[in-house]
Amino acid sequence: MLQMKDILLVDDNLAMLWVWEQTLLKRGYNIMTARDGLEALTILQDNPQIQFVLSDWMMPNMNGIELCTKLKSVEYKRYIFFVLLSGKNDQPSIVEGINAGADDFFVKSANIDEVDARVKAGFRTLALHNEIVEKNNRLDSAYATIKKDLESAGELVKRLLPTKRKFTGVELSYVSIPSAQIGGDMLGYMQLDEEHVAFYLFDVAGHGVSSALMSFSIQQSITANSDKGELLKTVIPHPPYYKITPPHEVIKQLNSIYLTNEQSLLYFTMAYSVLNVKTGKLSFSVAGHPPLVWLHNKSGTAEFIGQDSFVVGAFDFVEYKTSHIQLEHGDKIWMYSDGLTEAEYGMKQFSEEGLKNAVIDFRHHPTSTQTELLVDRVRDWQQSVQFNDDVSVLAVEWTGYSKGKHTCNTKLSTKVNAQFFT
Amino acid sequence: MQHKIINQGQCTVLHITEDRFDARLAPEFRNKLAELSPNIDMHLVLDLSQVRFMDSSGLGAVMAAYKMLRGKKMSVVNPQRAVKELLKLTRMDQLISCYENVDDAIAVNA
Repeated sequence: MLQMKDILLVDDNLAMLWVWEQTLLKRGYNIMTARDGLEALTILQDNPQIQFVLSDWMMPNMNGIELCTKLKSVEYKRYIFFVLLSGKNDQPSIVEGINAGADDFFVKSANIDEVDARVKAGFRTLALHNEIVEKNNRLDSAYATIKKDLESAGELVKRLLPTKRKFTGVELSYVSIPSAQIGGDMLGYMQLDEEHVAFYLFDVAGHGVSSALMSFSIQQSITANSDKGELLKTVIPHPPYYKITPPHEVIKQLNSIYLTNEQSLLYFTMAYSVLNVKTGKLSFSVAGHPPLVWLHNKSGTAEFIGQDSFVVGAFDFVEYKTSHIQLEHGDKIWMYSDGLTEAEYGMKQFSEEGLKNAVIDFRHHPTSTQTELLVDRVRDWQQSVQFNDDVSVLAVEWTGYSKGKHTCNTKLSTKVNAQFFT
Repeated sequence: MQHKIINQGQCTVLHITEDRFDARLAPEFRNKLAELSPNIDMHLVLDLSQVRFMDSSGLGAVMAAYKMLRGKKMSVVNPQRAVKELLKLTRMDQLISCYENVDDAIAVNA
């Protein structure tokens, strides 16, 4: 920081002005002078480096108190150290000066060493102030940088979400909203082969950067292809050279990949499911995650299907299980994170019951709009658009499979199979 | 984190006197446990009777505590419905016993 030496002297008495100017010049300060408060304001405006003002009391046009009040007002955006010159023991004036915001008082007859010491003290205060302001500016800009980084990270995370809303035999819709720029919730679905579509949703504990990074990494592990094949398809030595990995195996493998030590609080909960789009047979595994909702199209009823099971990534000894159900045409399966059911209004939570009712109420709407409708309902209920936790929800309808529609997207599986055949 | 600690022979009772056991509380709870755990003789009793809501971070802190105890017993006293359901959903109720009151929990070691 530059050495601050600029002082503005304000006095209508030319003789006094000259005496003070000479005294302070001798001590090495840079001095500018003004004849009254109005002139002082003009000089300050033209010389933005000046932060120290030494002013007389009684002056025409604008006196010392008026000048002080002006410089110390909120509208005046510059920090000025303001000193009033006063007569000896002029108590009432000093009180008035303090009320106007003056920082110090110099007695006109004061000894030069005392004046110099007080001026130095004033500059020390200014230096401290300026340092804090500068630090604050640096913090503000660092914060802006971090915020921008997080926003672009958030955009990247969004790109990991699926874009397709329809496969042969299946229609899907989802909403995923992080509580901050990035969150720990993630969901996805993909065609495993002509007959199987996998879909899943997971929720990394906590929210914020570390949760989001873990969530990003898990998403990669689920979708990655490697020489050893994929997590979701296990290599076998005979045609078709792969088998669909059962849901509990998928979760068990993720558990061993993401096993953390006791120092870490990071773990995740997950629901993973594979639907046979030809038969409507659904297998699923749930790990420490809220149950799925199964909407029965024919009866218009809904039930929770869940499993009590350990979370993923916390313990090495755990086993998971796969359950099987048979869907009917038009049945839907909903997956969601607890940010939805634990949305709060006062002491109440939206609750699983609230979710189940909504799923039933929306059943006649197109599947593509149902997740949006649900999130809007929760927002209305909690009377706030903003959620305190990451919220994600995925709805999957088994529309059924007719022979005419044999245009499966087998891109994902052919890529891997080609590798196996060579 | 508002809490009380009572040492009763081989038991250490940690009473969490907060109604939300969430991301805000979790780091403090973990530090407290790291400080306490070497001095816990046999059994950590966690009194959660006042906790109305526990989120995933809170649960993570409880799981970390379980691991930190390295085989010493851990139990929970009188959890409210939401907490109890969370412990059941994540099967933590298999690792952490649940008692109706502190006396019952302590009696296990008597």
